[in-house]
Amino acid sequence: MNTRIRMSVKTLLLCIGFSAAASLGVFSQDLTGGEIMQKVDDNQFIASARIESEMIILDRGREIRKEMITYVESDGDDTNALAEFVNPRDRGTKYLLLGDEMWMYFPDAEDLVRISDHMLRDSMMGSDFSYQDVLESEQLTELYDFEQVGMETVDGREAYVVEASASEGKEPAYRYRTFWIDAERFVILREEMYARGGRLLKVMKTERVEEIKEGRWMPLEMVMEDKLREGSETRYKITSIELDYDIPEGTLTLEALQ
Amino acid sequence: MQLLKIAWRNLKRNKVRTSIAVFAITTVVVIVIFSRGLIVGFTESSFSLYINNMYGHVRITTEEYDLREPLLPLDYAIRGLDEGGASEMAETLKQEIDDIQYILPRIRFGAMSSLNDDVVRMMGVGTDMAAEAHHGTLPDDLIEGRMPEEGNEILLGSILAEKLEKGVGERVTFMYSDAYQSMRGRTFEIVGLRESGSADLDEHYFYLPLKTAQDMLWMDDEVTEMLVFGSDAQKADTLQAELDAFLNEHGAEAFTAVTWSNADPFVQVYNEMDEIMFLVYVLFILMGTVVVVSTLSMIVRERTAEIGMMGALGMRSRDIMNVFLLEGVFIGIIGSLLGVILGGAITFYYSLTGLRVEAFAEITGAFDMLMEPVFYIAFTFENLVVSFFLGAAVVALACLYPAYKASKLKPVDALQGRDM
Repeated sequence: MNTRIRMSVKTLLLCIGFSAAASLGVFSQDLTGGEIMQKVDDNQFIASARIESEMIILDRGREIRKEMITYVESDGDDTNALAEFVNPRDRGTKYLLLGDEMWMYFPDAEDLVRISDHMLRDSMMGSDFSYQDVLESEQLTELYDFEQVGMETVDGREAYVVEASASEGKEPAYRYRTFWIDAERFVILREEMYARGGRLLKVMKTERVEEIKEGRWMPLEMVMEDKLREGSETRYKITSIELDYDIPEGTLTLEALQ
Repeated sequence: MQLLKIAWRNLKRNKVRTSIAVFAITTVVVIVIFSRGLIVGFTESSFSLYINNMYGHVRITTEEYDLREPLLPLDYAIRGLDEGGASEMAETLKQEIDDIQYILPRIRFGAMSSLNDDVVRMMGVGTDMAAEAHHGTLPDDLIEGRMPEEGNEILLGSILAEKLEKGVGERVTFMYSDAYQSMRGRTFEIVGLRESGSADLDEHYFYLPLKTAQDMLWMDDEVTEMLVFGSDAQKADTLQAELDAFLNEHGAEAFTAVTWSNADPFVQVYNEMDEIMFLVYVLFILMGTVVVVSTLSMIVRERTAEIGMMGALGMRSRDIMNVFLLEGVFIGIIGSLLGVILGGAITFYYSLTGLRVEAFAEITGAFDMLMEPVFYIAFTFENLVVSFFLGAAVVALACLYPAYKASKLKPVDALQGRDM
């Protein structure tokens, strides 16, 4: 299983990181959809990192701000991440991602809670992201078949348009997705998620991309809109990122979470 | 008087035929009495559940909460008059509106628990346990343990406890979203089990002290609803008008006060059903009446010569009509009387023992309708009287036609056996 973390959504727990420089500078309409998405994966792979970020949820005119610190490490096969909320209202709440399982720790609860399949479509911390958005983000190449359908300009950047449809036998959260991938930096600039009947469910836009290592570009601010939630959007911002962070032994374990 | 005697004597001329007609009326009156008792018992039982658990006599919420209630939006809570706090608002209401007997402030919120690979979703109700102990129904439904008093103590629906595989004295962790939409988890101690009889309540609800709910949901001195109880549920409209006036006077247009009978679509359906059922009762009686009308028509046909004789001897058409009408009325009265005795006995029996309808209650529970698994059929004097007069009156009216027909026979034709 390719468990490299894709920057867009996984950044919630997140994110993310990069390993070696990805192949950049390639600018060709000859790339297939699958090749483009593989380059996105390669570009956004993180071996280990410490990330400080905030999530701003706008809901019917009300703004809710959450801050978190995330530790993430990946050996290329399995990805583990720990996100701890540090804003006053949520202080102490932690999410632990261990491969394809997610656990929650709450300061007022005696037990750890595993995110079960029945909760996957629920909103994560009241945001426009669902748990499934986070868990599926690293499995896209397994869940979808990709096709490059053209080039468009997004915010002044040339972008591949890649359409994804669920692979046969797979039942991902969204039947179809469309990606706009920066043709030079291999960063997702925009993503639309659709239901089986073609109804638009969510839109994710990248609002800030920075070169955080030579030749490595990362989206550091993005906005997700759940089209089924009236007047709602969630802005995710990375405020600080330390790559190749030396995460203390045992940090990303259930024992430490408890 | 003479006509009465003739009519009464005529009834005895063919006892079998008269008995059949009387039996038909008796049967339909028994059905009507039983049906009315069933409907009244059912609605009273269900209404009582709705009033005590969901709406009070009048429920105050914010307009926005009322609109979005299925989502249980905690951000549209009652924060008091001029945001001075819900407790102060409740006190002011009690002081200024005489008819208010008591108020139960509550917070309802969604919660869930992870059980193996499954998720059990439920509803938490933060409520003033002291007020519940004095006025509410929770203590009456306690089947084990005690009422929650403070901290993380909860009262759990009995079926919910079974699903969670937990009992009194055990601890359970629930997840919920607070007023700022943050997912949270908390471990509670189960101190009591509730069995209301309603599958929906017992399977999906747990109760905790209001203060605990306010703390854990970040809703300091806020509630999502106030259940206001007046002196009589049937006078809820008056209480609502007073509350509306109070809210307008205090510039609290963001709040809405809704009577229990208008708060839930199912209650409205019940009320409409009651009106429809009256029509059904009349139709039932008409079914029995068909037998009486048919019997009378047969009698008129059989006694054509006799009617001619009565006319030839100078009996007025009106008297002839009255004789036949009185025969029908006697059948209606006797049948209705017997129906009242038999129907009264049956409803009285079931008003004591109840009628078990677990399967039906389970089905309706799946649609979030509140219903107890045992109906206690209402045995009321009013039901017996109404059913008696309904039976007698409908039969009498229906007999007008054959009686009129008899009165219109011409003596000469009648004596020659010619029908009209």
